[in-house]
Formats: sequence, C-alpha cells, structure tokens
Amino acid sequence: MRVYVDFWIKRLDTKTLETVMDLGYSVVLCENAVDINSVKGVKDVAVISKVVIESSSRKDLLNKLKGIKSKKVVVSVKPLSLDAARTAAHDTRVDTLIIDSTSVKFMDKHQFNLLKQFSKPIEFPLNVWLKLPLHRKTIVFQKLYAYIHTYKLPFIVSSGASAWNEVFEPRSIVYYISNLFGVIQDYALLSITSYPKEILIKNGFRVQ
Amino acid sequence: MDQLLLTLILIVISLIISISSLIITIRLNSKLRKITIVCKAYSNLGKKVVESKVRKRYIVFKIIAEDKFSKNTVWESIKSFIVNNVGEIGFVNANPELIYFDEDIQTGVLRITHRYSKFVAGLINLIKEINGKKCLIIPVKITGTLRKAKKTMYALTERKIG
Repeated sequence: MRVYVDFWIKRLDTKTLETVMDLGYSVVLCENAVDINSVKGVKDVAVISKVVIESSSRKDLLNKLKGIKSKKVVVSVKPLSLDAARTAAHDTRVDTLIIDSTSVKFMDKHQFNLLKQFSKPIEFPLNVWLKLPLHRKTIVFQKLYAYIHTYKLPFIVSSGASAWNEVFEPRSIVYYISNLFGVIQDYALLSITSYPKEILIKNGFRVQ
Repeated sequence: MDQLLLTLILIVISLIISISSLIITIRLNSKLRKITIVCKAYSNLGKKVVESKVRKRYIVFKIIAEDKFSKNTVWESIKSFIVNNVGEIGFVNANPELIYFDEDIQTGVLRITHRYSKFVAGLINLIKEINGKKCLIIPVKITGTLRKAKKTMYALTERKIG
C-alpha cells in the first residue's frame, strides 16, 4: 500500500487532521500541533514533528542547529543568504532545503552540485508558491525546472498548509506537478511517497 | 618512364571522371527527390486530414466547506479559476461543463475533454475559497461514462438513485 507523506503542515488542528485522514495521508510532518489527541482515529496517521529554520548567516544557522537532533525531528532550512545556503547543504543535521521567493536567489548551479554531493533534496511548498505574485512564481518555477530536468535531482512536494482547506489530495498533486514541470506521473508520485519516506527512514522512523 | 607517366595520367583522369559522376548523381537525386515531393503534394491535395476524435471524460468531485454552495456559484468559480490558470485557449480546448451538482450532498460531475481530464482534476483541488468562504474541492474519480459518474456521485453518501 502506498504511503503518502505531507512533508510540511505549519499548523495542525483537529479539523486539519480530519481532512488529512480523509484524503488518505499516512504520515504528516507538522511544525505546530494543537490539541490533536481528542480526534478519533488519530492513530491512523503518524504525526512527526518538524523544525523549519530561517537563517541569514552561517553563525546564526549553527546556533539554531545546536542540540536539535537530541529529539527525533526532521529539520528543514530556508536559507536567507549564500553563506547559510552553503552551510545548510554541508550540515548533516539538515534534511531538506526549502525553495521559495526569498531563498531562490541562492539556489545556483554550485548549490545544486552541493546538494547532489550531500544528497539533500529540495522541498517545494505548494501553498507558499501559489500565493506568490506571477513574476516571482516564474522565477521559482524556472529554477525548479532546471533542477529537475538539467540536474535530475530528487525533490519533495509539501503542502505548507496552515488551515484545513490548504491541504491537497495526493493524486491532484501528482497530476498538477506532472503537467507543470512536464514530467511523467511516476516521477511526480515519488515526490510525495518515496523521497520523503527515505528522509524519515534516515532519521530513524519506521515507515510501513 | 613514358609508360609510367601514361598510367599516372590515366589514373588521374579516371579519378576525375568517377568524382564528377558521383557529384552529378547526387545532384540529380536531390532534383528527383524534389520532383517526387511536389508530385506527392499534388496527389495529396483534396484529401482530408483525420484527427483523433475528442472523447469526453467526467470528473466526480466533492466539496468540503463550512457553508453550502449553489450550482451557479460553484460553476462560476471553477470557470474563472481554469481561465486564470490555463488561459482562454486552454479553457476552450478543455471545454469544461458542470453537468450535475447536488446542493444537498455538495457533489458534482464536471465534463471535460480527455486530453485535459487529469490536468483539470489536479487544478480544481487548488481552489481554496468560493465567494470568500473556505472550501476544498476534492476530485474523487475520472470516468468515461456519465452513468458511472452518477453512480459514484451518490455512492459517496450511500444514497440510492431514485
């Protein structure tokens, strides 16, 4: 059975969790979980905590990463400077790098080569991208297009949802991503199944 | 010495003849090819080019929202969303139409051309609000027949077709 993973939910409350369960997700990674134990069937979905770090310098990033892996968490970094981007790619505590309108200018070919060398995927939060103005959308799209087609590296699609209506149905993500980037549906499916699963297994979680 | 010279001259002449004959045949061939292309073009005049038939697909979708929406409001929001994302040409090619919408159970059937079925199924899931109210449109199934689409629509709420 396929394991669908929503790699980033900003705020998880009871209504969002019920929606996620209805849509067929097995694993959900959230930043802030609010009173979810009262939901029936909460054991059908695995909720894993995630930390998203925004940093504008190498020192700042290293300070924030100190002691972070003492608990079982998944760490994503949104770099706001070139220094932070390079450090995040090198650091073993960082699991993914988030691409959006502010971090896209630090994603160049050197960064992509570093990500390839240290096998770190890029995370693409759909809700964040959809809310951008058109010209910024195209900038992010062009970088991701080059990432996928020229460098052929793995990427993860997450919802970045902060409300119950911002969660996506897994098959809709597959259809949308395959049409947007011109990739086959099997490849788009990997972005919500296999690639996130690999990161969870690397962090010591058992995913069935 | 004289014989050597003669043989050399003969070799050179034969080389020149063979190379020139090669060039002549290549040039003649290209002219022949042009003639055949022109002949084919004339023979194909008046023949109709048959494109593959446009087939219909039916997308069954369900709306999760705090309020209930009418058929018109749902159709207007889907139409404007598709036009904003795919453009007028894309909209015309996709040819979407909201055939059924049950306001009690908030499920409906959207007819679309087969080439755009999966794309539109993914697109309608991106609609996050209708008339300023939060909602989530979930595409449940893509079928080829209207009968199966209606069956799926009512099976979602375990309601029998009258």
